[in-house]
Amino acid sequence: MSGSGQFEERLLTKLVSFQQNGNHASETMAPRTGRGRSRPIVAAATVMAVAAVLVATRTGSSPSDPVATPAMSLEARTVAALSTASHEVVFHSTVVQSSGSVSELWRDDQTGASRVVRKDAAGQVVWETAFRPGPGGAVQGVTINYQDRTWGEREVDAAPGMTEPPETAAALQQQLAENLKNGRSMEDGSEVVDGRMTTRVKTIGAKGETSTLWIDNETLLPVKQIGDTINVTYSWAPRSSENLAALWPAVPAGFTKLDGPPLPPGVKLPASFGRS
Amino acid sequence: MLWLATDRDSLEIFYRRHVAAVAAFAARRCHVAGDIADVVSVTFMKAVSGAHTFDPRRGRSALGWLVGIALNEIREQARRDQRQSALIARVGGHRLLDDSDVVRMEQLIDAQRLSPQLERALAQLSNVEREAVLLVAVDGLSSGEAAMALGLSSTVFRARLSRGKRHLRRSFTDSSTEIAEVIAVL
Repeated sequence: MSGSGQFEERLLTKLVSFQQNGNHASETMAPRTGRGRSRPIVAAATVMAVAAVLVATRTGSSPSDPVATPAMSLEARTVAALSTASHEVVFHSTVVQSSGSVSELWRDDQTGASRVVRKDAAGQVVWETAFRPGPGGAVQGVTINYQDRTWGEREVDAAPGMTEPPETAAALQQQLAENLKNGRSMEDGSEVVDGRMTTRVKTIGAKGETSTLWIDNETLLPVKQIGDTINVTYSWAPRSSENLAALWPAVPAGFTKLDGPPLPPGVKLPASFGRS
Repeated sequence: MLWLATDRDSLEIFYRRHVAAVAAFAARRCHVAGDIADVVSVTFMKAVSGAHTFDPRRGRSALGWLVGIALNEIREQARRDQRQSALIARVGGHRLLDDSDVVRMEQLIDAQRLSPQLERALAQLSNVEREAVLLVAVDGLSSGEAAMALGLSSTVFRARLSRGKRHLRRSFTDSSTEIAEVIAVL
């Protein structure tokens, strides 16, 4: 059926009426495809393991925190995971744009330290910036422009970079829970990704853009995402000294230090900038 | 997938995402527009009523699940002859068609028709082998989705697919491009 016709629209109206009238309750109308239809023991055991992991990794929880149970939907388990998310991880993601350019993001949830590295389509690093907490509540920033071979530091009261990238565990799980609740996201089967069992979640954005997210069944954290224009892989590493070191770049030898941070490649200030 | 049975917006997203694929699947197996409309209608009605039976953690894909429902309905259609099921009488997908829908679905049936050469080659296969080959090579399902649609374990399904592929090779000649394409994706 190329395109959507009157039949499809009439059928949708009928389906919605069928759904809203509670006709789904009839067991006799259940499809007879597949073999046993009862909840499999293996799946239940997996979810119980998830609950166990969530309880084991929770930090600072209170008795009133929700706890994931085997019967919970992905949405409910994600909401439960929000209160149990461990801050003992360093977030890392690689975002590949349709243009071929790549951004690598690191973030330490505990301190808010973050680092963004931008690469061109050939994989060459062109620019990066990082922020970390400094003395007295200030924030230290460093920016390196690899094309101009320049770099600079800055200290600010509240660095915009400290809130970027926004993909903290809690933010991602909050977004997922909301999307599942409002129907923008839907579970779409299971898949093993890099040896881990994941749940595939399809999302349709407000403008009709689509993306697929793979959620680790144990941690309920995203593993990868493929959208119309971007391709993201996520990793959540232990908060070891080695992983924390990845949050702060080493300035290459021979680069010229500027008074302030260099602009990203291709960004030029207007000619009138700085004139009184 | 209980939201399918309860949430209106989720149902609409789910329906719009899969309706074209289910209709194309039905068009490859039905000969008149009314039958396609009935299969599509009953498939989604059963999906809504049976949403509680779908468990994505079992490696099930929504499309494989829907195709399984549609496949059963097509088999039912063939068995039932002229008698209408209670659900079809209730849903009446064919009664939702207007003239333009009928024309569109007939065009869809034509578009989904296989070449005589491929039809002849597929006719050499057993029913179970043919269905396995069609689901993967023509309907575009993954092996897992197709196994699920047929209610088989992946091992049994792959064995059938492999036999079908082997038998198809016998029909292959240098000029049978479509058969070569089918073999290539199996």
